[in-house]
Amino acid sequence: MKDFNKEIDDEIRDQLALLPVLVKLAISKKLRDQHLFLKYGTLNNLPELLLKEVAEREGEHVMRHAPNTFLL
Amino acid sequence: MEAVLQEYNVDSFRKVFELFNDMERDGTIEKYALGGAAAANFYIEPVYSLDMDFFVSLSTPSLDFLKEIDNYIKTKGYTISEKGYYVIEGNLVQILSSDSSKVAMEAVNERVYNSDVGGFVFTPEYVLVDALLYSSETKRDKYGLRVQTFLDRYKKLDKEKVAELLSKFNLLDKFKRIFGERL
Repeated sequence: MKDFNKEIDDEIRDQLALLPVLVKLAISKKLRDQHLFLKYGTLNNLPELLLKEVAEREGEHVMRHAPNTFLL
Repeated sequence: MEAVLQEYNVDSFRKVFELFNDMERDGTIEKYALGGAAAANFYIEPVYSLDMDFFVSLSTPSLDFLKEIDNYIKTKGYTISEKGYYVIEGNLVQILSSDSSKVAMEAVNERVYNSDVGGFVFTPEYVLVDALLYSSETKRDKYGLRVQTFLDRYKKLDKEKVAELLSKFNLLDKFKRIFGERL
């Protein structure tokens, strides 16, 4: 089981920054709705469900932009 | 899963921008741009954002700047949450006058169009400077963290432009006290 509480490293942060804007807005909304707060501005609690959901919705487009994001 | 997909329908964000485009087109507002944390999402990693902060200017100054906007939004069937946010396509939206600060006023004028959402957003340099404006000097509040993230992570940041804006808005000393010589 992946520990989502650990800090996301810089490489992942860079990749998350490159996600399509609409996806990032959805992630932001998910964080709000689930009351997930960020430590030092990083996504240390990104829900696994959302990652899967985003991958399903956005498919190759996202994978091309951020291939390792979904290896979390 | 279907319910989740519907709840986080990314098209909802485009619809919010469509609403502001419509208001601009028919003259209800003069100009608008998304600012705040939601705008930061356009440039850096996704960040927690309670709402979408839209800054608007009006063609004709009004003491009650929200009156016409409020009427417009309500006629579209959208409601206001208990905490005073417009609820537009499931998104919490706050509307602020660009007159609230010189930074916001200029940020709306210098806005950029984003084709993914079909609407206007603060440039990254204005997102940073606007965050600094509201930052405490502890470096640990959400505004300071936003500035820090732009400095650390956003490689396309136009640092000369940031320095120019900090100087123009008398924020250079505050910036240096918190972030030193980062520019």
